[in-house]
Amino acid sequence: MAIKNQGTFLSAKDVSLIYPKAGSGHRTSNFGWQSILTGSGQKSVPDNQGRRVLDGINIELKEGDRLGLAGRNGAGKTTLLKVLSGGLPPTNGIVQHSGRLVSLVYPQMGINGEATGYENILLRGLHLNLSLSHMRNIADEIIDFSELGEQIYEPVRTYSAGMRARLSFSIMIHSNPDIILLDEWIGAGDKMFQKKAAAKMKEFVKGARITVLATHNEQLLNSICNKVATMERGKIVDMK
Amino acid sequence: MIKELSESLALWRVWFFATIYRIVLSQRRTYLGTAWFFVGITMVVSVKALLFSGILSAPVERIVPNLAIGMAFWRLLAGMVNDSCRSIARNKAHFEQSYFPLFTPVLSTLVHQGFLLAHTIIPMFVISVLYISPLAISFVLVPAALGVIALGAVPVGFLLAVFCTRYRDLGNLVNSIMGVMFFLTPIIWIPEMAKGPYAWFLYLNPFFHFIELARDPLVGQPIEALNWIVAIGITAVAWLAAFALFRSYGRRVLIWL
Repeated sequence: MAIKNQGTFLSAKDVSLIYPKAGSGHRTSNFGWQSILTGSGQKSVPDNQGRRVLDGINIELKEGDRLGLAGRNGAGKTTLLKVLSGGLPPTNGIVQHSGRLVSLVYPQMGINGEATGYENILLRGLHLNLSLSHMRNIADEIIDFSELGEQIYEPVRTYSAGMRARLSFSIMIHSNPDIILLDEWIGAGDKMFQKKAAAKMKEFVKGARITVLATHNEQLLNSICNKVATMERGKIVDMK
Repeated sequence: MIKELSESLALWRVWFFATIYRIVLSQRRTYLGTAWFFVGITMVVSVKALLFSGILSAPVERIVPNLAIGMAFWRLLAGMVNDSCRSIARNKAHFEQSYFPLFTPVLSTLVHQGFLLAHTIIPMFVISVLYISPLAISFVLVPAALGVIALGAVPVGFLLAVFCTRYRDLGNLVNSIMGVMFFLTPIIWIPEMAKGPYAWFLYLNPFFHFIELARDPLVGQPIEALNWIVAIGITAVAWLAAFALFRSYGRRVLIWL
């Protein structure tokens, strides 16, 4: 839930999320295709109980906080980001934030391969509900930062994965967010760009805003974050 | 739900501009571009017009405009229904990434289909005026008809989007039903042909009423009050159902994405 006029903050109170089990346990009639494709020995899980992916999460972040989320694959880091962003509704608990929140759980979202890099800057702006004239004004800055040069006028389908990531990151960081949520992603792009992105992140953080970063990269956690939450099976088991 | 709806409307850059931008981009590497949206329907309608004006025992100047305008609006309604079923599921990334109001993808579907109609209606209208006398005064009702269709499409699209996200069989079922409804709706035949003991079937078909709203004034047929009453009635009931659904389930459908 977005709250207005209270300074930048992000909080989660006793948040749990239970996913329904449909699809994994129940039987879909498939005329035997399933057993031909995967073998018939597949175990099926009972359908009646949900899966608890987040369990009693409490987080309180204020201006200047940089929270790192650590933990093994499947610990619930990405899901927590999805709930913190206001995307997924928690089964229990309350999530609140104040300030402009931009989340990069799906960094490629809204990027259209047929459109040029420049057009994608405009398109992404539309998706962030920013006006075309505003996006045109900041486009030069974004292009400079992304280091894409003349290639910004080529269709994005011709870009490498790293180039796409540079474009997404550059648009995001220039869209003037108060809160950013990043998922295991800053590692995209080449070494040079990573350094630059990390520097920009630090500059961003100095602007007294909030960052939540889910990553396996300890070095990154230590250099950027002032708080680290370690997750295990949907719970925060350690908060430093 | 009013809040959800107004937040959805406020994202007009997403559901209006970005949607049209995306459609135009989808035709980028073609020579004809968005003109492709009316090439197909013009070919289909031309062939059907030749075929059915030979088979059906009705005057050709009734059959062809009925078919041409009927097809354009059938594409709109069927497109709305079929696309709405996937509209929430298709936007999984949008919904999971950050707060995204539930009605935005439905509005986007409406704009998408409206944009296609803007293309298909032109050749269909040209075809139909080749056969009919100058426009009737009732032509002024067309904008109102489009308004009712759009107002009805939003809650129906929302209901379909939510139920089809929760129950994945429903999308396939709706798709199959729409295939049948095409033949039960007077497009390749004319409403006057529904006679005898089964004539009442026609009046149970919601698509018939919605199509007639816009088609009657465009092809110079008399306006039937019944069509308007039923269409507005369906729209009102759909809004109430959408309210009720949102009241009890809110945004919880998103955990089924």
